[in-house]
Amino acid sequence: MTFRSLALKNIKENWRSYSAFFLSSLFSVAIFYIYYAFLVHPDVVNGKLMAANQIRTGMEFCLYLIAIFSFIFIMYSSGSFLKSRKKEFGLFSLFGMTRGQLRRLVFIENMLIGLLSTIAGIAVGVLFSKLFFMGLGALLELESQIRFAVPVKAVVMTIIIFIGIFFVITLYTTIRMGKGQIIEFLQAHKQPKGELKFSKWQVIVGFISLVCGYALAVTMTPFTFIFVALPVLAFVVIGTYLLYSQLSIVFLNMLKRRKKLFYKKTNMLIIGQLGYKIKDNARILFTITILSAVVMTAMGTIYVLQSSGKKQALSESPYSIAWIEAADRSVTQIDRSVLDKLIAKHDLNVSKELEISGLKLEQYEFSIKEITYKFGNGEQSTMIIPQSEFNDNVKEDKQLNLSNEEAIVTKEYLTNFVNNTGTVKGKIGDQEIEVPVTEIRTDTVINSLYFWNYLLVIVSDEYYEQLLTHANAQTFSVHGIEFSNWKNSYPMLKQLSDIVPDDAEENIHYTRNISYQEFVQSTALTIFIGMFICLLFFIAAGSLIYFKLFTERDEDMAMFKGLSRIGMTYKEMRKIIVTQIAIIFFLPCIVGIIHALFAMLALDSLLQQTNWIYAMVVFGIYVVMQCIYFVIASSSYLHSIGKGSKTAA
Amino acid sequence: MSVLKTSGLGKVYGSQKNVLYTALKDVDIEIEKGEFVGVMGPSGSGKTTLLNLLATIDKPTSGKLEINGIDPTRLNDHQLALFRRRELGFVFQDFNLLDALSVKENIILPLVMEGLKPKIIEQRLKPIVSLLQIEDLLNKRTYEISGGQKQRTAIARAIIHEPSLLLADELTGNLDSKAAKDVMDTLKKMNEELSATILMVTHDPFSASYCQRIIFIKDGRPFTQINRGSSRQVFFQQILDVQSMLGGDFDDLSFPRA
Repeated sequence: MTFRSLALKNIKENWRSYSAFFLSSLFSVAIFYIYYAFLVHPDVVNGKLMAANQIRTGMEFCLYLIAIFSFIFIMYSSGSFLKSRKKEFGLFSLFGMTRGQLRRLVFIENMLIGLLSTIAGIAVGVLFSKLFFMGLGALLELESQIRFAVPVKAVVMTIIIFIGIFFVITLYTTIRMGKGQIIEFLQAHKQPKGELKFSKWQVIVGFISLVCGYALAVTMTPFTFIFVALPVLAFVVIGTYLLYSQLSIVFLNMLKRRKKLFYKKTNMLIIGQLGYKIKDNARILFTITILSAVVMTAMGTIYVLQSSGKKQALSESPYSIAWIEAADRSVTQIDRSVLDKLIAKHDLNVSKELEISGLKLEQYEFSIKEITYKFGNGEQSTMIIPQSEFNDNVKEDKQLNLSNEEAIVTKEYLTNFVNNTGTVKGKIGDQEIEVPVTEIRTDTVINSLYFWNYLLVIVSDEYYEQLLTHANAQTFSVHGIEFSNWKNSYPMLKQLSDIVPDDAEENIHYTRNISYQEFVQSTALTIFIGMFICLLFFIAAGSLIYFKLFTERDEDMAMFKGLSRIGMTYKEMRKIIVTQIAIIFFLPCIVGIIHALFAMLALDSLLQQTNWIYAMVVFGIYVVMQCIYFVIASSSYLHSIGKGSKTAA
Repeated sequence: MSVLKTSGLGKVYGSQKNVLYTALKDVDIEIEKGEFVGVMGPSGSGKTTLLNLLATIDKPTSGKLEINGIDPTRLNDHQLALFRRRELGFVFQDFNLLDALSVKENIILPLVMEGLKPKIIEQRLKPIVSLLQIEDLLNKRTYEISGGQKQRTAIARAIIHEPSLLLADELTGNLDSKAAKDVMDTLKKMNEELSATILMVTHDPFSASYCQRIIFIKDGRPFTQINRGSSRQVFFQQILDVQSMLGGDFDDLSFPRA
């Protein structure tokens, strides 16, 4: 038996314990490859994805982030993998294997696994990259799909980087593992379990922290945000830590006191052991809980920002293109026939057209009564329209019936003032007017052009007629066109922007779809990258617990061996193991989700909108990932314990 | 009525290259209810193999085994586990108590696994702990008590479900002589007052002297059997005599099994 064959044989025989390390390395490689393949994808490099150019530096930054994360993650995996095999190394040394040989053995093994997982990881990455590109295409609302491609650069770079990572980590661990006495290796797992103690004060502090944190988060308003955000974070972090290290013991003690529950078959073993499992893993459970809460909240926030941005763009500007026409032709504007030609050329279908005419209210000033707040500085102008024009363009339940000498002001973001009243002042032609504003609304009928109709003042038809008679009163109209396939209008609008004369820029509004598209793509890309990092994090979280689980395997094996001798059935053993693993896996998941839910609630009151469905999707992905890990972990743990307790018998 | 009956019991271990090793051959043992029987023999004589067969965690390759009228070789794994749980009680050299549970919880474990009601469990617990004099330990954790106390706890666990046969494997192997005496006294009390049927495997002539009857095995076969008269001192001397006649290595205190 040569040395290399011993290493090979080790891997073959202990595949189960290697598989965790192998799989988590494989996932890291696959994710890194997919990301890199996307970064150097021809479509991305050639600028076909415009958003990719905008956030290129951000994307490259994330690549480093993923690489660093992979490094730390693989290092942790390899460390805990070696820890779980301390006993084996102890035996090897006991039988006279020198330190150098032991190091060589571990080095060969680790590099072999590294090599295999890199190759397998790239294969998996290539396989799944198409799926990811499809998902990205849907997120970016692209018409044409991103091509399937296997960029050579991505493959080569992934191999180089990961072989490098594995090399450094293996070198580091082999140098470190040589230290320490043989006896320490052999006794790696022998340590008596102390009593589960808790301190009353810490329990109280933990409980109060959680309650305070949650209460503050729920009652948060945009005004208190700055003062409350940090305390909320501190409360929740402290509370979570104490939840695992202290509150869990109190809770389990309560369960133990309920004899009917505690004395029910396997419950006694599950509950009895759980306290130790949670306490031993408190730090890991705490870390995963906080990180998952942060990750989920961040993902939720990005999405909310995106969807609210989308909504806002559409609600501000109901028409793809809007322009001003003055009755006296005093306004520079684009020729309608040119516009029509462009529309036809780009296969756009006009689904809605609008023309609203009104009076120019110059040097306007709109003051809100109750809070002495003013819009307009007395130099700009805005638009006055008769109520019939307004009523024609809104739904029936929003229609107005105004009396003489009163006005209504509407602007989409006046939401905070809908209960207020005010006055609007200004000049129509040569005459100064002042009208009381009886209602403030947030309806939008036409795109807002800053120099023309920033606010829309609506008056009764009779009063409007009266205003028309003022000397030098100027009328003008706002036109709007909407396409049914406006999402495809990007190239046409880009072309339009080249034709519009410079002095007409303020008289035409066509940027809605352009900024919409750019906004959607850049946020979608941010979400996409966020997803990557999330995925990597979820995998890391699962693996962390998985590895921690296996460090306790020998202890559990001894216990179940004893129990099976006194007549515990395999079914009962399985129930105990599966329940315990499930709790360890899902506890941080559930607590993290609860934290994230409260954070989303706070977000809801900050931004006045939350997309709960999306939050649920993010939570769902996390839960599914944990489920997959849980199934793999519990089945392989069961297998190894079952095998161990059988051979030992 | 015999609680345990074996006839022609044998175990042959086969290795991969078809080299057969006979660990046990033609063992005929019969144990009546209420008996306290010891099994002794030099290292490698097949004691542990015999115990494993009786404990139903290993299957014989020949012969018949009957415990309380049931042939465990005909049961499947699940039934076997239930059989062990109901019909057998175990006391091990290394105690096999669970650190995560208190002394009381360790003792009642077999009843809890059976799904008995908490009230009945408490009722069953009382007489046994008072007999074993471990009432004061009930709420302690396993690492807070001495070796002798641990072994008495283990005996309580092995007996609380009133098994038909109590199997003890070197139960004094990890104890000092004072604790060993305590434990053996306790075991004897169990035998006398609860008329528990006990089969004990041991190296230690002193522990063995508590038995009513000792079966010696050598090279996998029953060698001889001696019965105790009235005096334990005399019995102890008899045991030593048989041991020296048997030869072999009796002094090797077995290592705690991993």
